[in-house]
Amino acid sequence: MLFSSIPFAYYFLPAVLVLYFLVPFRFKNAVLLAFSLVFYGWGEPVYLILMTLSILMGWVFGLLIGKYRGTKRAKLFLTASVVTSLGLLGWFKYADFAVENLNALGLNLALPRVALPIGISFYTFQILSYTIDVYRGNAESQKSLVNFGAYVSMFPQLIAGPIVRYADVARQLESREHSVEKASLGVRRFVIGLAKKVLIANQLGQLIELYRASSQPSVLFVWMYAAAFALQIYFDFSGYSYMAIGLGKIFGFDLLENFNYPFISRSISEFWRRWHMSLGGWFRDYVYIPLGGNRVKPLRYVFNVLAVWALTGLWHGAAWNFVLWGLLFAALLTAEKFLLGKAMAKLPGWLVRVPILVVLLISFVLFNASSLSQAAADVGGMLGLGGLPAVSAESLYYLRSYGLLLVMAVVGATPLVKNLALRLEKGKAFAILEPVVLCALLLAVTAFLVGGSFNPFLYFRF
Amino acid sequence: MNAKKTAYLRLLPVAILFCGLCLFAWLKPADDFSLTERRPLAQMPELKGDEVLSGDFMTDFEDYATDQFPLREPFRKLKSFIQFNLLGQKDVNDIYIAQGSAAKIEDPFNEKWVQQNAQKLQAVFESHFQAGGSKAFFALIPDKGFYLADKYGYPGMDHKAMWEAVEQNTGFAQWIDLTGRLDITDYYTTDSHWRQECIGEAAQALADALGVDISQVYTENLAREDFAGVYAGQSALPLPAEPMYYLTSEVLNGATVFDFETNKTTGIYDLEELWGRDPYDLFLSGAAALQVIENPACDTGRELVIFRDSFGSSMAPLLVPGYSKVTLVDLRYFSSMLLPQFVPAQGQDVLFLLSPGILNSVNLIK
Repeated sequence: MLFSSIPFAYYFLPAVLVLYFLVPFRFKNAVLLAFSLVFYGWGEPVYLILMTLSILMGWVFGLLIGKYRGTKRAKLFLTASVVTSLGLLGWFKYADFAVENLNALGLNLALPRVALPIGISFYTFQILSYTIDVYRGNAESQKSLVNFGAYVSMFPQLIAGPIVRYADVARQLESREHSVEKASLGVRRFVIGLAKKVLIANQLGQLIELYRASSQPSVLFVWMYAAAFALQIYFDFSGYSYMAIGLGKIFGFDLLENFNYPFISRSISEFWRRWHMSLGGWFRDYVYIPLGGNRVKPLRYVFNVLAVWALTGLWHGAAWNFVLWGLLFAALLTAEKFLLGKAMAKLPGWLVRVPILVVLLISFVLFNASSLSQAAADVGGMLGLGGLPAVSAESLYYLRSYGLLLVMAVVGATPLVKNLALRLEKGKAFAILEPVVLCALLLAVTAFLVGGSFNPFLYFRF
Repeated sequence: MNAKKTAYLRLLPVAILFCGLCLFAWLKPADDFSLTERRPLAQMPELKGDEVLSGDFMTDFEDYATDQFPLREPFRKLKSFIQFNLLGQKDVNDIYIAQGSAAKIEDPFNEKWVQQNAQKLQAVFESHFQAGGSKAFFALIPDKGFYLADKYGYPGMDHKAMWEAVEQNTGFAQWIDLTGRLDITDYYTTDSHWRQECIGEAAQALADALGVDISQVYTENLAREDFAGVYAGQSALPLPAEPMYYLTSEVLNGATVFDFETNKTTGIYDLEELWGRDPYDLFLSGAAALQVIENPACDTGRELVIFRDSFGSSMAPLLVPGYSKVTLVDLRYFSSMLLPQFVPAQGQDVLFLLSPGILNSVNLIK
């Protein structure tokens, strides 16, 4: 079920809200778990079995690790937890990819044709964070299966993150505050997130579809596509995170931020501190630092960065363009650390940001390609290769048609609107203006959902 | 203002709006049909175990919830308003407005498809009609995009290339150029079709090529004052409704139309359709695979076969005075394999009267 759908917004959400706030606190996690399973099973009922199995294994391993913490058995159970969780992820996400590559090497194996369960990358990483944190002593094992199930399957962040680490919400699972203040902030977050997804990301998605169907490709159109996709994935992903954080607040949880205006970054490393922060943090704490982090010799550092970013690429999808995408960032981060970092710090902001934005656009084009040949064609088109004309009548038309939306998206991707709102917040009129804007956004989003607007789901491969 | 009061002020209006819409959505009885979109609306699916397990129930419920949402039409209009007026998009659902008239962005010209379709039509004529002494005529209908797209910078079909390709690939037929006989004001502003009362010159061009006399004294009848065509419904843009007229004459009043699918004989105009899903179905009762118009006022015995699309419904009546019998074949719904059975070759004039969208498509012509 998508947040940006009528069934979620006007059927599922009111049902869960009514029941959640009707029952006493000791049943609230059970309500969340039950509705989360309905939410997950809505699209793919068959994968409820997988989800249930993952929850049960994570819970049992967590208990065993907690019980034997400090002994060899704990390590054994942690290994079992990691192997089974990654085994399931590997089978469901990477089996076809692995067989395709083995066949390319000369084998003749039948493709298993495994469908990817939605959200498996997210909840697998959550379960891993739990068992590792319990092993490390950063968290106590969760005795209640219901509480653990609610943590793993919690519908606000189940299918598109942020990746919530157990240690961050362990206490809130046992006891959390529900208040009008928190709920009102949650509602604001949810409505703004929904608007980011439906009013901006989905509309930009239409421009991307038009580019793909274009009969008159041009250099201008490729750049418009690159900009539109970078902004679409930002508004889509950050919109989902906004909605998740907002829903979390309504249910009393304080989830961590996942985006912080990444396109204003002055460096690639800063970009990754602002983009999908929960994933970056996960890889930092559970892969990069255990490998030695940056307190190692340069060659080892390069290996660590390559390993982390190849894995980050693979996490996003089982295809070589994702691996290349990850390795591109590994190369950029290494270059920044050893060659460019100091010089970049001295340059004026715009002189650094412009080339960084260009590199990011190229990276997103690579990310969104369905094959390496398409990636090469798109990136080549951006660079004026491939004999494309500079402009075409079609690209000029769509520039006129989507220009304002692109400008609005660019402005919205910077802190300008937030800063303006913060300034206005001090005035009395804001108290009246804010609910009016939120109501208008809710009506506009509903209109787009009713009108059957383009509503892609970008996270099916994550 | 304290934090709690601010929170209530923020929360309450949104909560009231949200709860109101939720209640409305849950309690509103389901509608059957959307007149503006001209389609049936999804209904509540039956809750069955196998449907739930397969996920079909969920998919159907999503369609139902979206289709049956309260205030559907105002919400559709709001969406179009935002896209068109606030986001500055030049088209809504591929429909744009130029010179006060709505038109649709067409698919790009595809030479291969046009060639294939032209070859199909040639095969239809040569295999079935040519031996009987028939002569073929071909007229490509300029749609609204022909007059608006290039002029106002909208993308889509390369009309020049399209016209050249069709003319080159229909050498088996006498080419009739209609482009100079029409302009954008001859079409409904809210619909894709031409206005019957405005296509007399185009009809005369066809008649001149066919070599028949179609002169008539017509009466212009107001069918509806508030016609809102297909583009008004699809785009949900605030396009003003417009009058719809139809032409009658003694000859047309005496003509009958037999529909092979319904086995019914009616008149040229079906006034009941004026208040149905598509008022344009007034003309020859709308889309039909095979129809025959008998004209008792013409005793020449001359017959015409028109391979047509929906534009033909309002044009064919104007050609009726020149013929004793006019057969209308829509190859989108009628397989040409059945022609010998239903339309015996008897030296009829054969007119291919089609719009670009039909020829620029794959597998539409059977």
